Amino acid sequence: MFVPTTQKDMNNGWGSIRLPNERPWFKAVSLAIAYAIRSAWTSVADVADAERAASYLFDMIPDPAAWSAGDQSPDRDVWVLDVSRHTLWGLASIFSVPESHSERYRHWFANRVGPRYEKRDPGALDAVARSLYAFMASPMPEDEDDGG
Amino acid sequence: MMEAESDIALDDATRAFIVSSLPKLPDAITQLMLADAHVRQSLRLPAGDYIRLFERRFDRAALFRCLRDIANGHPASLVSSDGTFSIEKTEIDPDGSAAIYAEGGGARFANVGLMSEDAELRLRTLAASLHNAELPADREAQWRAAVELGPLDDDLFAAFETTMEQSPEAIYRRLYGDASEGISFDALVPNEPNLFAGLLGIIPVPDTLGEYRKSWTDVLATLDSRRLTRALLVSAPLSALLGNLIADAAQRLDRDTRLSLARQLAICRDPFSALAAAQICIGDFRDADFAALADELFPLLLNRKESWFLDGSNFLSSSVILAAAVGSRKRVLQGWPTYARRLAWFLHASHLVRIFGNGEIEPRDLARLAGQPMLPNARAAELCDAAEIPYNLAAPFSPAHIYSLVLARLTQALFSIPESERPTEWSKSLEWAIDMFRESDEAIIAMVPGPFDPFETDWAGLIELPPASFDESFAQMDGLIDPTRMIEPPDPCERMRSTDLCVQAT
Repeated sequence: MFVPTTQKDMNNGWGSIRLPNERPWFKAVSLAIAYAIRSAWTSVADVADAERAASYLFDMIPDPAAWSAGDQSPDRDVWVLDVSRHTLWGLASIFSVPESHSERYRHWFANRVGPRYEKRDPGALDAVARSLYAFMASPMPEDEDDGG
Repeated sequence: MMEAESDIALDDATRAFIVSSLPKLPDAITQLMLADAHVRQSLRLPAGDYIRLFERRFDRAALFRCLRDIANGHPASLVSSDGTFSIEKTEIDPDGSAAIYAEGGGARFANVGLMSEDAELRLRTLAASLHNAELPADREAQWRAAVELGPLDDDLFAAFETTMEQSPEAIYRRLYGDASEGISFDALVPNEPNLFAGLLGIIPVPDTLGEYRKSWTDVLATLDSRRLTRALLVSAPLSALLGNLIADAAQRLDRDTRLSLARQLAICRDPFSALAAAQICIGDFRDADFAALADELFPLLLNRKESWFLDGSNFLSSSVILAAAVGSRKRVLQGWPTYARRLAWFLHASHLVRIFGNGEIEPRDLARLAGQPMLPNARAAELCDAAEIPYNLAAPFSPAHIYSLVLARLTQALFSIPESERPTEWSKSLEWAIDMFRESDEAIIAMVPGPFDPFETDWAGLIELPPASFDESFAQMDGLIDPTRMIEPPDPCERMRSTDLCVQAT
């Protein structure tokens, strides 16, 4: 089996050929980490431990723009925004953070999450705020959990 | 922002759910949501102009009415917008600032006296606000005329506050205040070109460092004593530049004002403000008060292993990296000449050391959290300028580079005194410091150009030592440094790299 080992091999199309199939996997990874962060903020009893876990996980979230840098697909930019904003949505909408963790969570978001996403995608926070309000303003299903 | 969504008619349960959920969401998200009038309307939130005090919301116009009553000595009252909270006590100070108290807490408002019917109080308040000469002379004259005319109305009062908040000093006061509740590294480099223009003191910034130096000197020559003192306080870290800019400009001040300025600079935590103080003192070395201050400054500046210099230089080094990395990412100074951007990052970093260097932030923490992680970012930003200046900023501001620069500028200042009059103690301590540095592992740093040298008009550039004359060239340097301390015994690979070593031509 041919395994790409050099930059030249990658440039010859390996990355481009494999990218579309890996997109769902990549997005699932990104969202899974975001949901793990939600779980850390809502489940870890000690607030310092929760923040440490959230920061550790947050650093693991892959950058879709960097990952797909070699992707020549016409919908690449849209896909990057989709992954990035869905992940941010997951981080910004943790309604069930315990009262004891709330302030630290908002401080953590303001210092770590907001700046990174503003840097990568200046419209991300605005888009997520809009989407989140639309979600909250829509009628609530009876058997839904906290919106996650 | 979200007209379509916010037009949805909300039932009571949904509205209650949203209102109870908003405080749990990140501030950036809720602020964006509530910035939309339609959303506020849908949630039936008050649509007026509010100010948050005592963890409650107050109508802005009502607050101004209250402050005006305080300024005029009338009974003042203020009730929160929900009607559940009212202030208990008010007072006004002779400098025109007012305070309101409630439930054991208090809030202070500056410049309230400007809203008084009493002309004397208005002028006294204005004098207190302008004491530090943070406004240019023409702006100050405009506000003086407005205040002489009568009490400021709400809009003018708000405009005065806005004007006063734009000076570099006000921005640093704000940063210091914000930091007490936690501040991000991002926020430490504000996206405010006015701040950096204020630090450099000239708008627009000239194209070259030589022109800047001349313009800066010319502008300072037109300032009165108060503004000159203020400008020198703000720009004191320019002592890092070639020449004796700060000390020369300070000569226009009378003796007592100059001494006061030097004393203020001497207690600043950043090394180059203290260096500026030393340069001023060296210029007045015959005066006992200046000489005594210099006696205090020399040990601080020359003992690089002592905590004063060690912490200050480490802090400055990390701050320069932080300023260059974050500022470049935000593109705050896009379009500015490269030298001006570097000067701006450096001056801003020096001010960060001033306000946070007295224990507020631990230098090692700053290095670990900002200096080291952001170094690649700062270098990447500098690479953008590489075509113009093939020398990066981030590396030349290591603590050893800072020390080397201090030694060079201090030597320059000291040698401006005729040899026969040069204080022996100062010369000896400086020689000792140079000898110690020369024998250290970092002596090679004394041979490399300083961070601003490539911008000087007589900059001779870098030369590459040809392999054939490499040993000979190093032999010539033998009196200056001991190269064996810096370079391992050459193996073939090392030899290849050694031939690429560059030293300054002059």
